Amino acid sequence: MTGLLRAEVRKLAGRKLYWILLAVLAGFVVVAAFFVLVFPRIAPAEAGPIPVIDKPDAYLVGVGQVASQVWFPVILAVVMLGTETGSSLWATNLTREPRRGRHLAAKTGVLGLAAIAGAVLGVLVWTAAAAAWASGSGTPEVGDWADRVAKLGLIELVWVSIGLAAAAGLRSVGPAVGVGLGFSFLDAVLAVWAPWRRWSPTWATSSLMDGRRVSDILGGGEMTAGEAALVLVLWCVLALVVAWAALRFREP
Amino acid sequence: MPSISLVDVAKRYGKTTALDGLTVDFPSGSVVGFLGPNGAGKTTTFRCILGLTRPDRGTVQVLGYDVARHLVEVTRRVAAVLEDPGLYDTHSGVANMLIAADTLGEGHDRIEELLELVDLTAAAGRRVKGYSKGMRQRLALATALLSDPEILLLDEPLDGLDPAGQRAMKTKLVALARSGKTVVVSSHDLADIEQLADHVVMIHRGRLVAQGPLSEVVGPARSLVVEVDRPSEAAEALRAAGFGVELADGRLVVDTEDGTRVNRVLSEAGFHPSALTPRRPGLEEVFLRLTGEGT
Repeated sequence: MTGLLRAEVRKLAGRKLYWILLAVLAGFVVVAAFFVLVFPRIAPAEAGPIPVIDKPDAYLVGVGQVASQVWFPVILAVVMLGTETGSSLWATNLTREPRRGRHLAAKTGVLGLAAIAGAVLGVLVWTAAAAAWASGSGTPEVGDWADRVAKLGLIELVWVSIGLAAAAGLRSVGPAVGVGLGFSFLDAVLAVWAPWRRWSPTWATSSLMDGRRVSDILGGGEMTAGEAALVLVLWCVLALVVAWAALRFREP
Repeated sequence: MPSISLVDVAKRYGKTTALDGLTVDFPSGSVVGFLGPNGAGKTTTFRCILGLTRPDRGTVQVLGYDVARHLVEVTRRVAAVLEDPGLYDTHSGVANMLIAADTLGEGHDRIEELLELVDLTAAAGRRVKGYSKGMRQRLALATALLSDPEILLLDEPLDGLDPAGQRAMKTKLVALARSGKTVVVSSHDLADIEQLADHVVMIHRGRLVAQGPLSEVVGPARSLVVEVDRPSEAAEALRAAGFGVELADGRLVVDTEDGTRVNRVLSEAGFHPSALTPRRPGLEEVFLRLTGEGT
């Protein structure tokens, strides 16, 4: 298993994709920070319902913003598995280690950590932006930071798992990216419908991150943090089971 | 014990029958030529052996291990280079070797030696995207040898290589077999296998056509090539004695194995042949005869 983890790290480190995605994520976060932290102050009429957020809240709001960038873990996972399942690489790897579950576990671990690292980078970028642009003073407690970053880790893992499921099922990068991102979009739209909302990973994410502003706009959070975490864990498990079944039962 | 044994293996893909009750043994410690035209079932056979494809029925055993139940054990002993070898184009040759070694759970200490074996030391640091077809094949072979497998399955390893590349690859494959490994080489090119294999397995439409040592499958010599001065006149003398004779590149091809009688007829007619060489049928002739194709 150690060898498989090392192999996955090598595969990831040697790809420009990961570094490009990190750069794009950082850019998105800067733009989001501007529109959340600066725009309401300089153009309140155009900003509409987005309130002015001062420190220390300005720091923690960023964690929720980074969590909402689900395209990052989805695309990362889809490309890293999809390039293998969409070519002879997957069959070649199976001739070296035939247990698909081990491959999947290694990818989930390494890509999950890579996605978390990216998310932490996003949080750092937001923190720098908030320090520079937000009014007020004060910083959150260390415990608040740790709590939100831990929750962010679970969220990244969920969307990595969903990306792996899409790639395993469709065996092609393009359609799998479409399905993965399409699911996130559809889920966000369906979250306005109460029966779906209790199972929605998007809603669970915003509830978990205490995204008050999102829930205020959409109409009240109904999940406790514990319930939200459970929903996300279930989605993670479901996605990984789907991924494993797709790899196991379809001809490679 | 044969290194690989398939018993009544069948596999369909929708309406297409890839393997149709294939029963065959691949012997140990030799180069085995695995022959058949495109679509005969060679790649499907390899995939069944490697556990990449589950047969609809039948059993596949490798070194005594049932592939269906002991795939991990099989994988530790068998390595393969598939027709389209899976390599990470964005990574260098040595990085591909490291990834393969890590996936196998092997150390890195043989990587340099294996790159040298396949003459890729100079190009090892370059991205595989820039490799030629031959370089990719050689790198794939090097990664396959990382685990020092007992059995090596090579799917069309000479395909797409230039003559020099083919020669080099053949030399390496024969050397591997001489070191004690079983090397199974699949090909649709019968001429290549004739130069390479000790043992031959022929399949057609998913079924076994022939298997055995190359000399047995090809059969005894059925004609003689005679080198003689005045070949046209010598041909007439042989035809008068009842032999069928063809002229080819200034030599006579006589439809008999009986060199003694040919020599006597020519001597009595005043000819002195400089060489009488038995000519065996090629694998292609044998294959066409056994399958009824091309008639």
